[in-house]
Amino acid sequence: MASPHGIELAVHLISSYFGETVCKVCECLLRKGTLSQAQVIRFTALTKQNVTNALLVLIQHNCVQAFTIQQAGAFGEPPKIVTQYMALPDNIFHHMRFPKFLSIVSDEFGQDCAGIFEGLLQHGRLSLNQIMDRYKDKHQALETGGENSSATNVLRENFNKLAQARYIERCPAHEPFLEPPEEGAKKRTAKSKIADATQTLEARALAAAAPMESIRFLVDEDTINGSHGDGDDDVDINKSPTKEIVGEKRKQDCLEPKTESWATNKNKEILWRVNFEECLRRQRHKSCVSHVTERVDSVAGIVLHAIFEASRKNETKVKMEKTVPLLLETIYEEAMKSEEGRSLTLERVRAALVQLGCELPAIGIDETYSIDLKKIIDQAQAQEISSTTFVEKKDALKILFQLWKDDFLNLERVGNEAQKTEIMLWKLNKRSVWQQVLDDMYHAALNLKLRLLHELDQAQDMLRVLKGKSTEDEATKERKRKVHDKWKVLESSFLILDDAIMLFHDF
Amino acid sequence: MAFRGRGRGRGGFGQGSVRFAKEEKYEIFPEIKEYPDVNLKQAEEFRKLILMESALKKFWASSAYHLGSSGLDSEKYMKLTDEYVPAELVAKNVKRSHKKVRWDPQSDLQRLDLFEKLDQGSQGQDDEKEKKEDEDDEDNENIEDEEDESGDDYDQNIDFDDDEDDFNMHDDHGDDEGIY
Repeated sequence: MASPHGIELAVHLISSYFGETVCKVCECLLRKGTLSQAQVIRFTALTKQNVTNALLVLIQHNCVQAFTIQQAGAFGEPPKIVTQYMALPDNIFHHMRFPKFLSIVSDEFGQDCAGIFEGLLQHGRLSLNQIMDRYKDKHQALETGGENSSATNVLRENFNKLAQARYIERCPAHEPFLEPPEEGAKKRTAKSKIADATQTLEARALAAAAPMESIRFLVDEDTINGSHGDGDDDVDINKSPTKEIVGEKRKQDCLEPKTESWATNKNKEILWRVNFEECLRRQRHKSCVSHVTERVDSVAGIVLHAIFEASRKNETKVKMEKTVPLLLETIYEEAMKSEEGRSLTLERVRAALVQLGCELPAIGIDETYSIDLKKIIDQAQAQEISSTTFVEKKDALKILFQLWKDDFLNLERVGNEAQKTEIMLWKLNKRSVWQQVLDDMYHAALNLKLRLLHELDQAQDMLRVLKGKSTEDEATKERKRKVHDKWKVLESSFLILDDAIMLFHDF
Repeated sequence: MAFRGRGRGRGGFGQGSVRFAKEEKYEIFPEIKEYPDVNLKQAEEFRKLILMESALKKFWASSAYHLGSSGLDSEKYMKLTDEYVPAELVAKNVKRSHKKVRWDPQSDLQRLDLFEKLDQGSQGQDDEKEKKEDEDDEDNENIEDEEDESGDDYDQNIDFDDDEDDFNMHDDHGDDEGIY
């Protein structure tokens, strides 16, 4: 991960959620890259047991992905299979936004679905049976037979709803095996081969682990019925390939599928987790709509929201540059569904589309519109960091040079023969500026978190002192209120800053 | 003579340091004078989010995921077999011992069976499978071994020192793939 403060923020988050041991292991992987378990033990100086437990927790919460590769053995020894572990910093950052994701689901599907979603956020990954067990544990009042089965049905329904809306997905393979690279790669120089090899290694691992798109959101009926494997299920694992995820299938090809150890595969349940991609996509929509509403007007916002709703299933990746082309009628119908949109006319919708940057086609029969989202995002990003100031002319040149030295600007010198002067053309080095901005934001986020901790400690000290007193006087109440307000402001600032971080990194 | 010059220089430096350097206390958390107001419209939404965050944090702090705490509730939600997590993380309670591995006739028979099956497979896959079976079998053997060691951090391989080895006579530590 390129961003130094990003790493520090990630480390702080893990330490505050899961404790010091897990934090040390995670920090080791973040700073030193992909490592084997033995290397982690060596670098962290922790015991093997601690490292094992920490890795298990990190994998459970989707912060680490494991994969196996073949390593050349020492002189005279055959090659061996080694398990490598890679940190997933993006997923670590998502942990600080879980409340936002949870509120999206709760707003759309209500409290019951939100309950299932919350369970997945809390535990990282669960099978459907585990979700049901958890529900039974929480709602012990419904232990009676009849009510239990209807509750199970409702739960299953809600689970299906979440899967269909793609808010949850099947977990990736826990240990995919990566084939060694081909012979042709040896032609490159040693250094470039190593750099290329490691970069593509992580990307290959993620690709190998990911379930196929066709089964990623597929809720198998058998998952619900015979997964406890009492010998009862008629379904032969080899006949229902949908039960397996890609990585697992590949593993089966390597080894004899009929040996003793694989007979237990019948009992294997599918683990599910929150689909961060979909959550980010919804956040992105929200952000675009609010930006447009602010810059243009509320109708444009409603229209854009309608476009997003209508094209949900068809968006392939999060960072889509344009919206899926839609007919005007479709947009209009969708807009009418919401309360604010009910009073719109077709003409008004068309006008809003123009405001959003669409061109009206000459022939008005099949009007399809597609919004340039990249432009909206770029505008929003620029708005975040821009502030126009007036600067003295001589200072301007000094500042420009300074920015150029710091690698924020690109300089091009154009010689002008006739006037014997040199014109200097300056261009913003967007990439490096954006990276610096993102790093600063991570830094600010970390500072906010630390400040919150500090305030919390102080407040706890104060409460301890006040515990002795029997009555609360006005001054004490005032102090409590002040602390509470401070806390509110700091937390709110963090939430707003997080929106900005998503804008620069994930959208 | 040299001392005189040096002494003067030092004296001069000593005086200078008092004049030019002033130590300021480094305050990590300076007091914030003005707190901005939270926009009323967003305040309600933020309140909900802040409460959710506290709930999540509380849950994790008291769960088994927070190593060091005594929460046992979440452990039953973790799938800890090699079908869900990497195989090497599964045998949690087993330490590789320095002692000789107890010869287990059962596992040897198992190994022979597996070798038979492997012989029927293609040539190229043999080594790979063998390696994997070896790892599985080693795990099995170790589960039978009852001795628990506090374990060296560098402890990686089983010490197969069945014979008297002239070179490694006094070698007490587990081998770190060191072959000379």
